[in-house]
Amino acid sequence: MILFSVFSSIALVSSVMVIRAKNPVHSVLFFILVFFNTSGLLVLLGLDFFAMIFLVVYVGAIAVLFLFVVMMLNIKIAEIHENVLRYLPVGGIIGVIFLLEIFFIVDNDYIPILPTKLSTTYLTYTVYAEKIQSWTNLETLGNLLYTTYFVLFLVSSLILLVAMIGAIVLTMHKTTQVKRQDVFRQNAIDFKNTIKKIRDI
Amino acid sequence: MFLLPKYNSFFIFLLLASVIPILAFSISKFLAPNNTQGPEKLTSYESGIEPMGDAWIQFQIRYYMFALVFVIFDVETVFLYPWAMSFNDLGLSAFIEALVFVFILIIGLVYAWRKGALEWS
Amino acid sequence: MELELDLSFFYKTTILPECVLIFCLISILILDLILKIKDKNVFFFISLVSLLLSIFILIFQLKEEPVISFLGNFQADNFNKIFRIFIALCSILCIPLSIDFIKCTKLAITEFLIFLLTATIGGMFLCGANDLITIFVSLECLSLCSYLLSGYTKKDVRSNEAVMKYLLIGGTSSSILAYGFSWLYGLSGGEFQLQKIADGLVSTEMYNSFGSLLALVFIIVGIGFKLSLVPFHQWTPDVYEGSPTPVVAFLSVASKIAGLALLVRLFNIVFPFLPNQWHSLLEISAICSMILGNLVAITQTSMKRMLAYSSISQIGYLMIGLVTGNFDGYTSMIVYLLFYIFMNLGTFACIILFGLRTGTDNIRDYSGLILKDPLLTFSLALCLLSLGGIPPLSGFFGKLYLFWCAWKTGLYFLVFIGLFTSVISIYYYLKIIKLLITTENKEVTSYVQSYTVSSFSLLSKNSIEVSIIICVIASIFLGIFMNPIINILQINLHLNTFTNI
Repeated sequence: MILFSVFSSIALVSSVMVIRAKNPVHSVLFFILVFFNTSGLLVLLGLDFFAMIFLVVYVGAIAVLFLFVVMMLNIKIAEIHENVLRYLPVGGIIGVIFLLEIFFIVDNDYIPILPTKLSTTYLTYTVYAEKIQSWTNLETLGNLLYTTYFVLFLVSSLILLVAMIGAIVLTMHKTTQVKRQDVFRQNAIDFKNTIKKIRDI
Repeated sequence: MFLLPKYNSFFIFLLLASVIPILAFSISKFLAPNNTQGPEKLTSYESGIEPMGDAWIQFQIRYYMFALVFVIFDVETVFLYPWAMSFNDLGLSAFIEALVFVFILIIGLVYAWRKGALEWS
Repeated sequence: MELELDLSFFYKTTILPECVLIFCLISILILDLILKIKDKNVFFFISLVSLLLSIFILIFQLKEEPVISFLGNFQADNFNKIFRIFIALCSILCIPLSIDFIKCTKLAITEFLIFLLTATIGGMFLCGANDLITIFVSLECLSLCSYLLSGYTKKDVRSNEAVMKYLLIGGTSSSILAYGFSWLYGLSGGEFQLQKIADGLVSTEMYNSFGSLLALVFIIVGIGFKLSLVPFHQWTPDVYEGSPTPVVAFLSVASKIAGLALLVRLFNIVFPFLPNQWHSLLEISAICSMILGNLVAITQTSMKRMLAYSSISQIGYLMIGLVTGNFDGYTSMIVYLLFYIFMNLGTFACIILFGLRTGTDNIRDYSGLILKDPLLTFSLALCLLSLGGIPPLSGFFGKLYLFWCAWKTGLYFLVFIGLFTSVISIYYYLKIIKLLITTENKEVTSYVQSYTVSSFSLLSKNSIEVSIIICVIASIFLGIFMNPIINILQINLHLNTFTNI
């Protein structure tokens, strides 16, 4: 419980800092901190493999990608104007909606904030870990992913392929148009093959 | 305390690991003399030359391309990891699935190669 | 241990059409990589053949009993199959449209085809998806390809702006949708197959609670962004204006088909307890989209923006069939969807042809087109009239059937709004047609003057004209054959599971 509150509060504070930080690089770093804390929360939930995935994929790859994007965009720090109040009404409304939902969730037997008492006794959930006690998270995932959801597995491979092709198509400049020196080909040119006899003299 | 009791040692390790940098910084702060000996002390020193320009240089877009290809293969490895773990339970069909999966992504790799996305020029 | 994969699905061939498409996609990619084929028309041929093949497979599968395969995450009943046929039909019609466009703008052809085919595959999976994870993954497959397609002309600043807006809005709507799904998952006690969610909601007695209403609202918002229903439509005109026109043609049809299929299945299977709530929510958004789409479309000067607002209003009409909620309502919705595919794609094909030859899509520049190309003018006018719903054309019959079904179930207000707004839509469609035909000031604009007419021999028709002709013929004559179409649909839909509710 202590660790949960530590992780979640650091995650919340740093996610606020992601938005508030003036330097975009700082906000990316806070973003990484959010990911670290989230993976800590996942470990607390017992999802060890997903915590590791969070670290490997999000921190190791996606945050670095964000950093590259930020560095590429050439935003100066002063250019980001402080104009929070413009978006306050819309953001406030959305925030209030989500806050109300949190009250709705919290409003159960443990914390009766609102007078309407919902009975949570009907709520059941399946603890898959109990059904398959001998398996670790990883094996459970593997057994599900490659039997039940194998179509989705293949569709996701298609998604990855398309994402890769799309990234290459959209970011590649036309390299064929630029004339540049190709040392290897210049060295490999054979004298006999270069000059050809077109017609007999 | 936790759902997975084998993570107790991990959390102790985490605690220690987070204490160490805090300790290191605070000790150096505590031990170091007050360096308020003039503004020259605070400037960055670049082998005798005054530092020019900004530290923030614009990166080339090529870095982005490499990072993106890396992300995709990273995700692919994540997908293959559970496969490797439960390979014995799954049998031949899962092997074929994984082959198809890897095949589709290898096509992507070949594509990147042929289009010259992996060249640095 | 039931771990061993159930290999009998290979014989059931539920996803054979999609497999054909995937195979074709990969073979196109390999052929492009290995052989340096200069004549790229081979790829168009391959993809057209595979799409046709998958449509034929689907048509033959219509007689089979509905199957839930892959341990419950893919369902193949006739309702899905019809929608899958429609999506494949859209891409068959869209591929010829894009050939010449891509050739003129000198973009890479192979990648375009791959994105289009993957979007088709995603849409087809989405139509048949039977659990929340499948819905989400195939929706992402569809929308990722749509983002890539709409940013395909990367040198164009407007296209970049469009893809940026589309990506952000799409990401937001996906996350909202996922949030709604998580509510469903939690309330039903950890189920994610659609039927089991409904059962789970009953067993946890949460079906009438505030939470399931919340899930319903979030799902409507998420899908409404994809369908561009009115409170969530703001991205549509900008994206339509900026994206390459063949892509717009595809998006305006395919994403709507897939979204409608998803909406119908999700709401009928998961939320049969809250029919009043979702009917009234959808009714409000349908009324808003009909009114706002048609009213704003009058003031537009760009043809593509006008068509964007027109498509918003058309989705409002399609919603009428969904709100009707009975067997006839769904049939009328499917019939109108079929007509809408042809009408809309025909209109877009004419615009693409005009845009390619003159380089503009401003409505003003179309004036006096009849002097240069009477055939194009004629077909554009017919498609627009059909979209508006002028009697002898098929759009009229579609709307008539739709309104009639709604009237029978007592949705008088909705029918009244629909009739009123279609009068407005006829006004602005006729305004364009008047501009096309009349040349009052005896001078044509410089754009039309620069318009070069291709030769009229039948052999040298380019591919856009072929699809224009198909669409125009379909949008004229399909209405006459509406009764057989309705009969076929009704026979096939009787096997369906949820329309009996």
